[in-house]
Amino acid sequence: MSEAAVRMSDVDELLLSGELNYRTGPDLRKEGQALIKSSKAASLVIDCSAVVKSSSVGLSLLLCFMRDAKAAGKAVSIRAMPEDMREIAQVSELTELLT
Amino acid sequence: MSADNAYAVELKGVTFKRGSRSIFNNVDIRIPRGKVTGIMGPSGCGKTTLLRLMGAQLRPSKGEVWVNGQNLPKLSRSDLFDARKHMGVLFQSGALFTDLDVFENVAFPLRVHTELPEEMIRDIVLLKLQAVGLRGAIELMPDELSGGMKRRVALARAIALDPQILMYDEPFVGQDPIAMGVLVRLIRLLNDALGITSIVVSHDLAETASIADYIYVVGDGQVLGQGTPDELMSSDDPRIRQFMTGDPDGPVPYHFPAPDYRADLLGKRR
Repeated sequence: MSEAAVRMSDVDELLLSGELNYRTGPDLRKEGQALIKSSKAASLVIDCSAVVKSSSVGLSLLLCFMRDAKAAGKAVSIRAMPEDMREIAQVSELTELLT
Repeated sequence: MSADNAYAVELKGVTFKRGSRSIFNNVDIRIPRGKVTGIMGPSGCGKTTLLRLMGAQLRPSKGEVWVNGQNLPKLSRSDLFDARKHMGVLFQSGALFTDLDVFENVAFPLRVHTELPEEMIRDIVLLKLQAVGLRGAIELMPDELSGGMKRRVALARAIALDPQILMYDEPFVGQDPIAMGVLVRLIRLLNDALGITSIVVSHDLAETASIADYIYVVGDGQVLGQGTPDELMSSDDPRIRQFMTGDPDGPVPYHFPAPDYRADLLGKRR
């Protein structure tokens, strides 16, 4: 099983990686929130290129981080959403909100 | 591990008895992964019992029930609890909690099986209700919903944990044509878009044949036939033909066994 993680890169991009599921979701939520809060950048890019697998939890994490960024007055964009996340987003008619 | 990963569920030589009465005798069924498989047969033939065997709510008297590579009857209670997280069931009655509103009904499995914070539970509930077209109904109680809406809320709840396998028990029973059309579209959409393995237990031929990739016809405690809907429609087996064409008489007789009619009417009175 691929361990899940969230970290801020040198260029202030939030990097999500591993499996985003019901087990890993709660910690990722807390850690991501803290990273966004401490970031000084005016905008936030959430990079999903290292996500191996995702359930609906992955989409909820994106929504949580988008709300955090909005509360901090940061513009937000999402990069490289993997296919399984796109499919769940499509079924839940969420695609437009995430682009 | 199960022999073949192409199948999400495999029943191998399953016999199930209630008391001395056999419901199933040495049945083999293989449910292909990622497809919609129909399990059809007349009312009372044990279709729901098959689903309960697949979900390990019932234990077979003999045989193996493999789900995602695990032989369920051999699992410990806690392993079975984990295995069931990957299986969703849409019950025939909907089985919504009548004292919980729509939101709490869908949130229920997330609260029981996960430790997600409230904001994430809310996100996922809204995503699932949006998928079934009922996000606007979150505050309604079950008794304020139509039969079709109840079935859709139950479906949102069944997919709350993103199951790999989704079992539908008579999903079309008691639904008006519009609600039926909505359910048919949703079952296919969820299957194809999310890669779910769908098992549809039903005696509604037209609806099931319209979405199933493969169908098993069960009756008399065994598998009477299997194949694509087209293959079954053109089957020469009279038992399959009777079911697929809805003939009132055939191998399954119209008349319940009775004494001679003439003797009953003109003979000695009981």
